[in-house]
Amino acid sequence: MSPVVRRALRQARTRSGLALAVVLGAVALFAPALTPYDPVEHLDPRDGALLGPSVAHPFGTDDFSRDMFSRIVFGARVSLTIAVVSVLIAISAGTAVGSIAGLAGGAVDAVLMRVVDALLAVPRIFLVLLVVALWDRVEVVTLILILGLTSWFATSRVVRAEVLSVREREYIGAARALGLGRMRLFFRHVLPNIAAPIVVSATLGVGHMILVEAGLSYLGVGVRPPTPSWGNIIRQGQEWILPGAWWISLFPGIAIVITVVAFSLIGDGLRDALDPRAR
Amino acid sequence: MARTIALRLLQGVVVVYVVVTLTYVTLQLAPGDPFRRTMDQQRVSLEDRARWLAERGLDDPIPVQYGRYLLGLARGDLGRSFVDSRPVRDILLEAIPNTLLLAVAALIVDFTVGIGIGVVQGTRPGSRRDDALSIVTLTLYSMPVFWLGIILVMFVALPIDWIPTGGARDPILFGRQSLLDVVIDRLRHLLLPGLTLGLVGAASTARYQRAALLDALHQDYVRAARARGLRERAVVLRHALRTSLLPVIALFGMSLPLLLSGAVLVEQVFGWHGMGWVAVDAIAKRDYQVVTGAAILAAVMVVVGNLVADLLTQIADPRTREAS
Repeated sequence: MSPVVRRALRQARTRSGLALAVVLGAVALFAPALTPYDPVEHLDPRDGALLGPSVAHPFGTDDFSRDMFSRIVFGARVSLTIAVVSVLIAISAGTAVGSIAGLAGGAVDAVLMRVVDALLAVPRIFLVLLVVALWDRVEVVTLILILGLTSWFATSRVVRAEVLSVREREYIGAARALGLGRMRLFFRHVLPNIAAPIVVSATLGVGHMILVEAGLSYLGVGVRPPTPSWGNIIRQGQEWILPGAWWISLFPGIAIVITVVAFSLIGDGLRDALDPRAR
Repeated sequence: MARTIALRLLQGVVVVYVVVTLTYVTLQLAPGDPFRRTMDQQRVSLEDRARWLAERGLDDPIPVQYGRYLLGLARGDLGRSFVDSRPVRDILLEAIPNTLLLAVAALIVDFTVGIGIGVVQGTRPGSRRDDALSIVTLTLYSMPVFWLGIILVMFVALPIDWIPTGGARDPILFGRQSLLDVVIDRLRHLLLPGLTLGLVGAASTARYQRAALLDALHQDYVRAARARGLRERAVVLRHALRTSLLPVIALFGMSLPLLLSGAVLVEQVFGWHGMGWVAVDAIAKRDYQVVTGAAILAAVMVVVGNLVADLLTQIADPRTREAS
């Protein structure tokens, strides 16, 4: 285990964040075994709609008489999958662009960084709305790609800065003097030395992505019902607040908060372990 | 200082130009043509279609269209809505005051609450109070802003009659009241949306302020102030806090994209007809021109905001003036 991870795990908050994340991951993985009902089945449209929390339905039922507990558990699966996969895409793209800019320098660097500046100036939701509007219907796979490809800008800046500082180090010069190829130089000597900040950025990124996905699904341009996602359940519940059904929107929000807290705790722990001055 | 301002201005123009070009490229990537998007459901003859496209100049070569688009933008022309042919500029101009009002209210909450919490935490790091507030800010920071809005509607607006659950003004009485009543009416509607957006922002501001104050408290001049026998209160307020506010000014510029993204969601929760509401409404109608206009406008706001933050930092901190 790297010393950074060990130092991070010495803190109670990193450990609790990790524990939470593991539990959430297990919930997502074993969703079918944990849920008493099918998440999209209309159980009893006549008598079972809009029931408040009870023993049979701990989080109540919605206007279609679907069990909210089952929907929220399956929602964990949907929201976590989207967040994790799109962050992986974003991190890869950000690392690629940042490394190219940092290693190439000159005009390539200047052009790439101006584009990144511009992309960072457009608020995230507006940017995603622009891209989402290109499709008539957005499937989950498309959504993952869109989220991933609109979230790499900040990472590319971080990676570029790291590459710039690493490439001046002596061991890189030595490796170059040994006649190593550029690819080998990058993957064997540069990448491992900039991995830590990338991991931090990825961990914090999962939390942000959960929020962005929830926001889009809340706006009605993310995950489409009947597929449950925490954001689209909150959207659906909003119109039932006035009639008194508070439970539909309440519980998925709590699920989001817990998830984002978990990833923030891990990310903050790793960052502080990486740079003790930042505390 | 004039040179720095000119340079920053130029950088801002470059950013806006790249944004505009990128949105234009995205617009071209849209499958089909605008005609298909807006008139899909209707039976239209090929001649009508050609005429419609020609009227809007959409059958010219792409470089010509791009040039015309840039020239239009330079004059503040954002094109016309595909749905009702209204100029996009007019649609957005109607929405901007609401968004600005919401943003200003949110920023006031954000910075007063955020700096307040950060200072309380930073003066006693590691205390129980610091830990408790850290949990509060972490929770707020992790909260979907639209959900906080819905929770506030549930637990504040529904039980208290005086606080509306949505809208930007009273639809019936507005315009028939005295000026004072109008102001009260608007503030009443602004209360929850502003609080929602501001509190979420306050979480990051507090974390930032706490770190900045801790940093300042470890500087030599603070130790010097202590050594001169100044009371702790004076040391914190007059010496450490003042320098620690500098990075927070920069935070104002950095937090703008997040603020505007949050505004889109908050506007949706409260039916607050600002830019974000207009953009989301346009998505539902497939009115791409309006979405593009809103995104460009949002980017311009971010650029201008950053410029202002830069200037404020320069005015407040003599060191940055010499350095540049």
